Amino acid sequence: MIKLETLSDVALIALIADRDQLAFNLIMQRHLAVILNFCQRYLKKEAEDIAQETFIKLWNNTPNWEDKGFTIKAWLLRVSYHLCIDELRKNNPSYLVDEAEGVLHMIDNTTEQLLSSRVELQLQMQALNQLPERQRSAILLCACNGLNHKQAAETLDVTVDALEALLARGRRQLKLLFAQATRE
Amino acid sequence: MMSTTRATHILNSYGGDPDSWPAQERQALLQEIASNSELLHLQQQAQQFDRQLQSINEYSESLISRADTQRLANKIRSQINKTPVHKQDKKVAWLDPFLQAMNHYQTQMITASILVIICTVGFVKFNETLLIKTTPAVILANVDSEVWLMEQVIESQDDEVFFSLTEADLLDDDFESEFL
Repeated sequence: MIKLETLSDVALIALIADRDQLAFNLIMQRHLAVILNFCQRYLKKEAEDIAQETFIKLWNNTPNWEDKGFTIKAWLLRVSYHLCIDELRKNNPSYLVDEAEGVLHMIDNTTEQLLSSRVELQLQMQALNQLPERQRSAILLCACNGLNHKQAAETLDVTVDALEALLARGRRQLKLLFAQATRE
Repeated sequence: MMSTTRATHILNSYGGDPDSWPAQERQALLQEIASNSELLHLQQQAQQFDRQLQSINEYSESLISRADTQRLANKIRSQINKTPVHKQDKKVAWLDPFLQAMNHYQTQMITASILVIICTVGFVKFNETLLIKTTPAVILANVDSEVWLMEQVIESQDDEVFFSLTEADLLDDDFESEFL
């Protein structure tokens, strides 16, 4: 008998279309943390709600699933990205994820050793959050979540050329912000 | 053969990992890097930056506890159990009798649609004719020749006759000879 864990995402989607909850659990096990992490780069309080809505959409859409060349991860990222942007457009006050608070808290309470690595990562996370939304999204989708250029461009509703420009500007800006964060 | 400008742009945009580059340009870029030490250096720098970005992502993912993910997964499970029929299914279910009827009476529906179109066109045409026959010409006339024609009528006829004239009268060939 074939173990469910060995099946690819696409095979699991076919099972979910037949309302197989075990397959759905497995998809959540594989991707929920990634999606939640992605949503937290845009929203603080609502990230969980957006992740939840994304997976409910997946459950609801699988009976009419069409293979449009998107991997399941790319599909989930795309849906959660649009939900996050919709939420941000509602002028949400928790739009900017405030990582600075966490950093200060850590500096007060951690040892020197922990400071050197974790605080640096915290500062870099903060720098990433300072990027303009489009540049940050392009970097998060391509460099952090491994979407290819076509999938990322489609997710952001831009051309591949525009995506390349966003990535180049974002990476350049981020290098400056990292350098600045390290100096401080 | 790829230009150095394009090669630099790809490295600056997609980073140093060949898997991230556009597939159709990958081979050309690898060849270009092999023959250009500056590009090789740029690729190495880009790879270093990629690793940095990856560790940020892994770190932020590690901040999400397993317990939190599990709790959220349970929440999602309870939600999908509450709503087994999704919105789209509801819409389809609502449309089902109509769609079934359409399938069953396809020929009849096509015939009926054609008849409806013919009737609509006929009705519009009939209305147009009626309009020409009944509306006083003074309201409809705005073409130079008709204005001229009316001027002639005004000169030769009294108001009552003029206002009773319709567009159809004006368009009638016999009209001109009769009045002028």
